[in-house]
Amino acid sequence: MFTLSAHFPPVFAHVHFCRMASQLPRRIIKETQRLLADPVPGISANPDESNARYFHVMIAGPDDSPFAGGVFKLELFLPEEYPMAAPKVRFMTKIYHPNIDKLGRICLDILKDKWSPALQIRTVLLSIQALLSAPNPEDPLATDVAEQWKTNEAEAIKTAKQWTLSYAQA
Amino acid sequence: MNSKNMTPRRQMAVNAAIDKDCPVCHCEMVLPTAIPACGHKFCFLCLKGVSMAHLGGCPICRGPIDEKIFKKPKQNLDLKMDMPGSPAPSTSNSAEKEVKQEPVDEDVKPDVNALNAALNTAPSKMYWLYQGRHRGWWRFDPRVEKDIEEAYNHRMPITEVTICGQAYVIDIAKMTQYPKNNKGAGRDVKRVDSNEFDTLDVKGLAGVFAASGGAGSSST
Repeated sequence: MFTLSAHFPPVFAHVHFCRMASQLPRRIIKETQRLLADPVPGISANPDESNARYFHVMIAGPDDSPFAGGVFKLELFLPEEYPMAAPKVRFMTKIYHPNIDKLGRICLDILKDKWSPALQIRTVLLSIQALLSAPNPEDPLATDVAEQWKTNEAEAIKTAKQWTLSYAQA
Repeated sequence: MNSKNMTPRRQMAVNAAIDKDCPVCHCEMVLPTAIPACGHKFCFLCLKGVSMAHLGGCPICRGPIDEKIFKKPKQNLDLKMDMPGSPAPSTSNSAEKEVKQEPVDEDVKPDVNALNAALNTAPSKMYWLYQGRHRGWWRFDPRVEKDIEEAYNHRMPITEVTICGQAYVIDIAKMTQYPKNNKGAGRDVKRVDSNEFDTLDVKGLAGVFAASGGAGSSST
């Protein structure tokens, strides 16, 4: 049986961290330490200097996608209820994708009604990376992009590549 | 490592290691509680928080959570149990005598330490309790208790802790606590040593009744 917990690697037991100043939940500290020490390939996530709940994220466009060669900036915020509520994630870099709208909002079920506290920052970013590889025009957020993707996929992919060249260069 | 090469005992040990951390708080489980339908385990307070947040069932498999497990829950527990982590958590309590946790901050309480040294005893462990709704006292979750004690030792008049996914304010100056969003629902809190603990009616730990091995009565 597939369980999410089986994929949680061991945590760093020996890292000392002072919690007094921030009152950050231990889970957020642990997740941050692991993201920094053992980053996901193609993804970087760094906490903001002044707000440990705000992360600056970069995702490299997957090789097998029209976003290859691009580097996409995102912001990720952990609300006070986290992990009882999903992180809030948004693309800062303009992207031509049927499930990401003009404001960078992402249509992804685990960020909404399918959130589970057994998910984490790492798994959320992996899902977003996977969404770049597999655009889903059947469940669109940017309806015009989705329409183009359904009626003329070749043209849509061409536009996505152009946008990647224009807006997503590091 | 290939699981096929493992002896059953070794396999069990590995599973136990994976099991030890709660998937919600990513810390070693406090009051491990299994969802009856699927058996996935979490800290009692983490699971209660999940249930209260209506997140669609078990965090691992989305199976149903029977809310009955939160009604007058009872566990065999050592009311004076330490934080999980240092020694292996014992399921058969009583075997584990109170183990000293980190020493109290020496810079902050030199007088107490000096006194203790003079008495030739280690600084005694302090417990944090909150008032029961009707009577008696509950001990805080040891992890939350440690945070409050830390704040106390840093002379902070007020601190915030998260319980069941909800923020609570602990007013150390006034010795009360209340949900951050509901200042009216305050309860008294108490900081006691082991001797005083034994004189009080402590019902259980973090809302879980002690079925045995506790100080004070364990009946509802």
